[in-house]
Amino acid sequence: MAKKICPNCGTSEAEVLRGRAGCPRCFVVFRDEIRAFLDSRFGSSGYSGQPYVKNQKAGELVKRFEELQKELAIAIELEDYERAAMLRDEINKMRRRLVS
Amino acid sequence: MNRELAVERPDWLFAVGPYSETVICSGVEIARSFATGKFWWKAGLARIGQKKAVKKAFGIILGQDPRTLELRGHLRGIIWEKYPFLRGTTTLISPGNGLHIGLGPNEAVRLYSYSGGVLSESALARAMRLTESAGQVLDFAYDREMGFLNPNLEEVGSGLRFKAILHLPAAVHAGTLSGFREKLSDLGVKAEGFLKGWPKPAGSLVVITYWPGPDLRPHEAHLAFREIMRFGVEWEAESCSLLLSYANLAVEDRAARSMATLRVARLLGYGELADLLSWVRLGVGIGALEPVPVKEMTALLFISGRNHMRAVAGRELTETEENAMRASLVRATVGGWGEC
Repeated sequence: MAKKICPNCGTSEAEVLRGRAGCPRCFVVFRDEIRAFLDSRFGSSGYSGQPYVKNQKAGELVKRFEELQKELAIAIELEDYERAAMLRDEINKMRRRLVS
Repeated sequence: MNRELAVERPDWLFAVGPYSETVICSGVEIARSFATGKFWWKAGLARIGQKKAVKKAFGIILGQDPRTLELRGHLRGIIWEKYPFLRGTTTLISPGNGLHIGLGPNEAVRLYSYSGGVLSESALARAMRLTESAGQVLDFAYDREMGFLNPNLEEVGSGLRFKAILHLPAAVHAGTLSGFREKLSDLGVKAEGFLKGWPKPAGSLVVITYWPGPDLRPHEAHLAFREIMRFGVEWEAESCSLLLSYANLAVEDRAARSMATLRVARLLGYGELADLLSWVRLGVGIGALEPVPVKEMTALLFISGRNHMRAVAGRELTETEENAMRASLVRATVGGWGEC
């Protein structure tokens, strides 16, 4: 019988059975094998930690953050310190939103 | 003594905490991988793009260009001595307070938080907070049933791995170390000798690794880890009683001779130094030698390692040069300790 291989990364079933995955897709392709591995190693394969809720706007925020940093560098270069201070405050506010 | 050897020794690196006579240092590592693409060991050139994304994210979170926080030179040398598992392939960003962010070799991000003695809950909480912040900027691989997905299947779920370096001279010399390893193995904890030495690890130092698995919450895993540390401390104490019951004078003799050797040696290999320091530590512990601050003994063990010596010299050293440099450092440091 042909052995399973992950179509995304080429990881083989043998590698997974040795405790190694190659990409997130492996967890779909080898779901049963991985759950069996976790069950035998830890007696459980169910996650009970805090759920991961990703910030959906993170990408936009990061992009805006980079734009602001560039604008800040220009303001400093032009010695426009009033604008630089304003931009700095906005960057700090955005950082707080990202890491809160 | 080379002046460079006496430069900055950050407190967090050599701090002593609970049970620090036996638990030299301990810490937690938190692994996270990207939701898209391949994991690092399969990613090839794509790793470069992933590494840039991670650096950019931490630049935002930390409010500072990560390049300015990247560890180089002698401090990196010390950290590699103290945490040999970080050596070689891992780029380390160090935002301070004992936290390190490692890029590679297997996951996109590995957060390290280490401290002297037994890791405190606040150190774990700090590392978890920083990881959560990173998760708001980066897209981590996650599955609702299994938790965070990582290449090492033992780190699927919380991504947590706990590590500690234990000093177990009595267990080594009383011959109870194998029993200790077997007991740990029953608990799913791996034990190996420092610098891969077994059954006589260099300096009687044993590195233990504990993977809590997917179903323990971080604070529960931390409690379990503390219990494992306590078990190690008790095992060493019992081994010490056993050893002293039949070899008290021999232990005192070895401890005093070791202290004397440290004071006069002109050439010292690292393994030899680790063993001598271990005897001195044991001698101080049982009251056979004048007290020496634990912090100083720990610091000496790690600033006299090969990587640190090379980092300070800024070049490769011959074995004789390295051993002479180490002996010089040791004489200068031990000279300040009490008479034996």
